[in-house]
Amino acid sequence: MAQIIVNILFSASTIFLVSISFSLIFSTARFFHFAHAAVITFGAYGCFAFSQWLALPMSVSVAIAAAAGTLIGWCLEWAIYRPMRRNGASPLILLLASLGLYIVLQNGISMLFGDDTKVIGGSAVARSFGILGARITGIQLTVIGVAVAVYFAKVFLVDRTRIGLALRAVADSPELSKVSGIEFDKTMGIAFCLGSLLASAIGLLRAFDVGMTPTMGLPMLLLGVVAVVLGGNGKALGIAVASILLASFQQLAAWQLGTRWEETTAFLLLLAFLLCRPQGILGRPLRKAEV
Amino acid sequence: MEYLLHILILIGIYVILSVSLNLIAGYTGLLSIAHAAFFGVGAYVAALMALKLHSPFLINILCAIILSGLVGALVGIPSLRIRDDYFVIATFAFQVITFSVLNNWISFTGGPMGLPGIPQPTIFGLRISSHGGFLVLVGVFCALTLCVTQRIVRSPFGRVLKAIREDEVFAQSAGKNIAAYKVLVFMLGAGMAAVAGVVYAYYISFIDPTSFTVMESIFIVSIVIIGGAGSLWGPVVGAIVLVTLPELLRFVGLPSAVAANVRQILYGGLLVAFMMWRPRGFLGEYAFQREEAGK
Repeated sequence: MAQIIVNILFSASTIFLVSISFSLIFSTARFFHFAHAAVITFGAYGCFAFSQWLALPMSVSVAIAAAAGTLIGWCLEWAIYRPMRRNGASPLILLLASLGLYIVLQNGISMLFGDDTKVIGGSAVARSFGILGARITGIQLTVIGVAVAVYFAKVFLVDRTRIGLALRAVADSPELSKVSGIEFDKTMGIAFCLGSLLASAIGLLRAFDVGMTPTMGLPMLLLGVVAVVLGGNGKALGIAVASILLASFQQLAAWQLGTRWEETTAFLLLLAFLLCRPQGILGRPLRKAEV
Repeated sequence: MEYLLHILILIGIYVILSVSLNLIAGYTGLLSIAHAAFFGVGAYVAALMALKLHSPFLINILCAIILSGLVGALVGIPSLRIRDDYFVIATFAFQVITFSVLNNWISFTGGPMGLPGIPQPTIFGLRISSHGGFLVLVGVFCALTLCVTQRIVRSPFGRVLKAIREDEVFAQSAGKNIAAYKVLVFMLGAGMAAVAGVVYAYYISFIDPTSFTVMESIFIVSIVIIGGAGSLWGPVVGAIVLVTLPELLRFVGLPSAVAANVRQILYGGLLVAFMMWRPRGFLGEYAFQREEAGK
């Protein structure tokens, strides 16, 4: 029983971190940024490259990899999405472009590093502890800790700071925020930087736990997207509740049907929500169409 | 010569796939990333029937169309409640679920091992075994798909589809039952995609789930968009360009280890470039955005 709870907590934390990083961008920019999956992968491979190829110490590699992931995310916004927005591209066009970007980046990583599973870290991070009869590794404990820290950081950042105010203003109404003197492009850049920083961090944490492959980002991102839709309003609380619900469902499916049906269950849950409650657990109803 | 015929057959299969997706995405404006799922349903239905029931080609293709059409209706239903990017996510979910069923329901679909040894088709006593024979078969189905699509989009039915794309609320206020139209267009598109799946299964004679992934769906979407959504010949142009372009890489002498990656980077890059500079594609009439007053 304790083991099940620990497992749910760990996988909920992973889902939560991915979906917070995605929702920082999604709630501000209002389109599905699929290339985010490549940023997650990039964090892991950046860390691998700096620590194995350049033989830098692990702590330095982690910091540089996270910074590089942030830079990639910001470059995508600056070089691709921003000019497209200026031309009046719709969210669907941005979504299609981000699919193309994901394909380019993922295949780039796969050409550079190969398709086999790479591992970083040694026995230090894999050491496991016993808590109330459950086993948990150091890295899993770190992920849960980071998730709790990010929860409070997100609540503080969005509700209490000027940056948070600007992010919310742009999310609510781009036109009105421009009139009020908020620098639109700068705010968008901040959203992409924060989201990408978090994404590359979760990518490299994941790599410490189970290793990395060039396609690792997409399944992680998709689960994160499911949690964002289930959560509804982009608030940290909604996403946290959704992550725990999703993780419990997956554990249940893994236990009853076998682990290979985990993903199917998550997406069936998504479809059920989209059909019956598209506004999510805590959200307001969506508008059907603008007349 | 066989190589050339092989490329032409592949182009034909992708023409059927992209023309049918164009009906859904280009004419009705419902962007769907589930087309490889319909492709897969068609291929698996035909393969399973041919292998387990030894039923003839024409019966198999009919069953594949009907079954895939029903799955299509299932995918179309969310479009009644959600729209735009949320709908894209819903079709994405269907795609992932279909792949996972093909991959994990091992006792029925063979799982990752796939279904080998699909027999050569016999139509009206004529056995199709050569590349040339398959090219004729694909050509006939391509022509049929284009014919049917042209008839559909020029009919009053097609005009309603375009009205839904341009302004859904307006179409509804003109008394059109848009729910029925959306589900029906999904059934039609899915049925046509199943034809491509059946032909593919018989042609390759071995199918496994990796041919029907999310990436394949995105590839079909790219064909439609780069060729031009909402025009009859756009997807045909797109299929020719996107299938032949990577083949040219062979002649540059690219090592085969990276050829698959370069092929994907090529069409991913093309998709980004077209979205940035020419969202309508080569021949398109629709660029996935509504004209808004004052913008």
